[in-house]
Amino acid sequence: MNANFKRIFGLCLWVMFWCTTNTYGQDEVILPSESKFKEPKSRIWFNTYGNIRISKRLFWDAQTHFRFEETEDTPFIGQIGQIYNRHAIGYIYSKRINFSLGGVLRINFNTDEDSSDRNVVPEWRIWHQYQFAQPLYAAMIYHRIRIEHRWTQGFEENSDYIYRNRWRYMFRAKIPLNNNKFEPNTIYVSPEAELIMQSGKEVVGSVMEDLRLTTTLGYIVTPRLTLAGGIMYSHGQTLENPGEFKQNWTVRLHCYFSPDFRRVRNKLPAIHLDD
Amino acid sequence: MPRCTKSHVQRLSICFLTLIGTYSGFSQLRQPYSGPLQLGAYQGNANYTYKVIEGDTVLDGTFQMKRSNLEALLQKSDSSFSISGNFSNDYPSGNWRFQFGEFKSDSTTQVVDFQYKLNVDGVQNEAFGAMSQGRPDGVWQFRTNHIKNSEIEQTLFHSSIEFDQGVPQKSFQIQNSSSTLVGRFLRDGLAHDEWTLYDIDDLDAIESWQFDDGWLKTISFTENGSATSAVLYADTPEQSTVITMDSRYFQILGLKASLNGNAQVLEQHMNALLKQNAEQYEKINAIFTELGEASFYPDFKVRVGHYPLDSLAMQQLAEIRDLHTQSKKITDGYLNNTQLSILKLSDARANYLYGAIAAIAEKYVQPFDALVAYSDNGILPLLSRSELINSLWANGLPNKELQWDDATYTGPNAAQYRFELADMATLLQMATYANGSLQAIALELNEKLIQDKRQQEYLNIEEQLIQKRNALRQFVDSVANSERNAYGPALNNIIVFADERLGTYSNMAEGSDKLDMGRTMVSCFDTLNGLAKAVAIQTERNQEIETTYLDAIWNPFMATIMNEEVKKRITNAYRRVLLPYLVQKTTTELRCENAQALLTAYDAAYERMLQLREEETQKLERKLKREQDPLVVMQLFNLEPLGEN
Repeated sequence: MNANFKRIFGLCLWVMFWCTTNTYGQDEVILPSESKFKEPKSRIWFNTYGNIRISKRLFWDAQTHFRFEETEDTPFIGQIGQIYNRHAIGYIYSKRINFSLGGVLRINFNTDEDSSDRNVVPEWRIWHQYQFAQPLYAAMIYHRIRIEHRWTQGFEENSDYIYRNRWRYMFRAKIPLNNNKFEPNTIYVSPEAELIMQSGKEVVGSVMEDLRLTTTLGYIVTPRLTLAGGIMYSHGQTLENPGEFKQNWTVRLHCYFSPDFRRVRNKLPAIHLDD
Repeated sequence: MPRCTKSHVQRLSICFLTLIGTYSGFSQLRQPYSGPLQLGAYQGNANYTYKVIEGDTVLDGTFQMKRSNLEALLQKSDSSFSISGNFSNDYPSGNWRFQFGEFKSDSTTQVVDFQYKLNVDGVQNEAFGAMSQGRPDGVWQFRTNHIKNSEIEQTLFHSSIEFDQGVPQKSFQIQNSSSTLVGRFLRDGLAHDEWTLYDIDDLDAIESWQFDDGWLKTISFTENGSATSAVLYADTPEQSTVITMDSRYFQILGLKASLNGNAQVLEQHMNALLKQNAEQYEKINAIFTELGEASFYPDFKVRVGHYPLDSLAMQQLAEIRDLHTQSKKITDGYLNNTQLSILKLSDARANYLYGAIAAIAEKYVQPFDALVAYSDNGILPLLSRSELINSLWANGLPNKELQWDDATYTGPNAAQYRFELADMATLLQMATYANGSLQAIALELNEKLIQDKRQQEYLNIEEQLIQKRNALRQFVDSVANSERNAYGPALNNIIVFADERLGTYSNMAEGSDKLDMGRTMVSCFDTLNGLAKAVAIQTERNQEIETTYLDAIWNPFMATIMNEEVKKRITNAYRRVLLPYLVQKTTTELRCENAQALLTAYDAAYERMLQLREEETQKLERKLKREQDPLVVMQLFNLEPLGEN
């Protein structure tokens, strides 16, 4: 039994070694002797989050983000980086638990000012998400697991799509500042941390794609409209070299809206789903 | 074979006509009736025959009617009766018998041969005799027996009178359980000779009425062992008339006796026995009268004086009656007036006038009451004027100057009246004087009462006003500070306004205007109290409306449920346009004339807001967009406008 286990473990190690050497062998990436942190980039994101109720249990999750980043001359908003279209059909399991499944079309702009490659390439994703909320005194805390299946390509002409999986977990709290509960005219602060891991054939070593630490201030205008803004620090391994870390400072501005176009008659039972 | 001649034909036609006549006579043949019948108080089964003549039912032939109820007898008691007799063309005639029984039974039965016998106790009245042309004819007997164990235990009453065509004849006998009356009549039914009442046990004469050709000369009786006698008609008056010995006669006797100071003569047994007898006859008479043509009473005839009223006296009597009716109304009205009863305690003059009314009532109005009663009973022509006046005013005619306690009263124009002669003209003068005096007193008292009433009303109104104003102050003071902050000026203005009105009212001179204003203000102050309450409760109402217009919304980003205000255009129109308008009106333009409208508007607006939450309001919300005119908002809310701007 013991001998058997040793044999299997040994085999695994060998496979891992082989894979690693194989990749290295292909791209000839040389790991630095110690991690290298690139200069942080400054970015600004304009994010809209739509949550459009379509039935008692289903909603349409519609997010559009406009992400800008610095140029040499202009910090934060120097150039467009990505335009992001994330859509899903969500299922409301209960007031505090919901799931989503959908697709993303992201338009990536070439932000390398020296590049002569294509300016714009699309990126495709399938994503699913599991969100859990729980009240804690006056605050709420949230756990979000999001899994994305991602097809990306480089800006070079005729470059191939590469396939990766992203594994994301976000912890977020929302703490009301001027109220003891969330209702219109409430300002809240929301610290959050999200770890984005990735995997895939093309991912060798660079498993921590991003670690995002954010603090946001939000304002609930109405139950259907919330505005928020915050600053995010993030860093993660570059795909090219696990020893290199990119860093970003991002200003994020959010607009959350949740219209409900259903007739009043149909709306009523949806207030209380299971209690 | 006889020859057919002209005379034969004539004879035949006569025969034929006779036949027709006979045939038409058949239509008047008796028809039987058998079934239920109600006779006054008596209800039972009747068997009789009748004819129909010119559409009228005419009783003819035998008549029987009876009733008895075994079940009632066994349960409690039974009133049974049996009537049998004959009619001839609607007139009772032939032999008649009446039996009335009030029986109880102890339910003990006995079988004798083939019959069940039931013991009864009670009283049986029986009357029998003959009738002729609806009048008693021959001997009529009445008996009242006390029955015990189905046997006569005691005769309570017995009368036996012989009639000839309704006129009592010869001697008669009436007896009750204690005495027997024996008397006699002349052939024309006039009481004559001595009517004597004997004690039933020792046969001593205890009372005796001495008649002479219908004139009652004396009444003698033994009272507590001593013999007393009263002379009634010592001298026969010039004019006389024959009347039946009925209540009129006894009333005249009573008056005469009391004028002679012998009022007790009529309180003796004879009178009672005669009355008892008359009642028995009346009972049967009532039945006869119900059925057909009859006059059944013991037509005992007596003579009395006759003093007919001439046409002038009749006219004067009529005037007296009119004046008396007016006077009585005045005395009754004032003597029973509670307001006057209270006023006379504090107002000496009112007390004096009340005393005068009471004196006039005693000296004039009450005697005239008796006069009117005599006139109604028909005994006025049977009393001499002096008898009449003496019976009305036992102590002589009243003075024109009335005296009571330490006060005196003389009516207006007293000197014009002369109360001297004992005639109808004097009575009329007295009635006129009494009436004139009462009218004068009433005039003065009425003014006093109206004045007093007005004072009372002022007091009442002012008391109410002060009380309502204080209630208002108390209420406003008690309203919590938070409410006063929002609506304090409006609430304060209600009090300021109330005080202003009170000031205006108190500066007014007394008069009908002031009274009217006072009355209006009482209801106005009620409204102001209501308005203050409506304003004070507004904070609470606003909160309720706010809560009512919240809708629970699930916020997917927060994963919480949040209240969202809905129909904001409606709540804004209410909160920012309508309510400030009402508050502004209350604060700056409050008047008695618009207070009720304001109160209604506060209440109605609140009620409407609660309704609108549930109603389909898309159109309304569209119309309310940016609407700033409170009048338009009120109209859109379907609220009554305040009525003025």
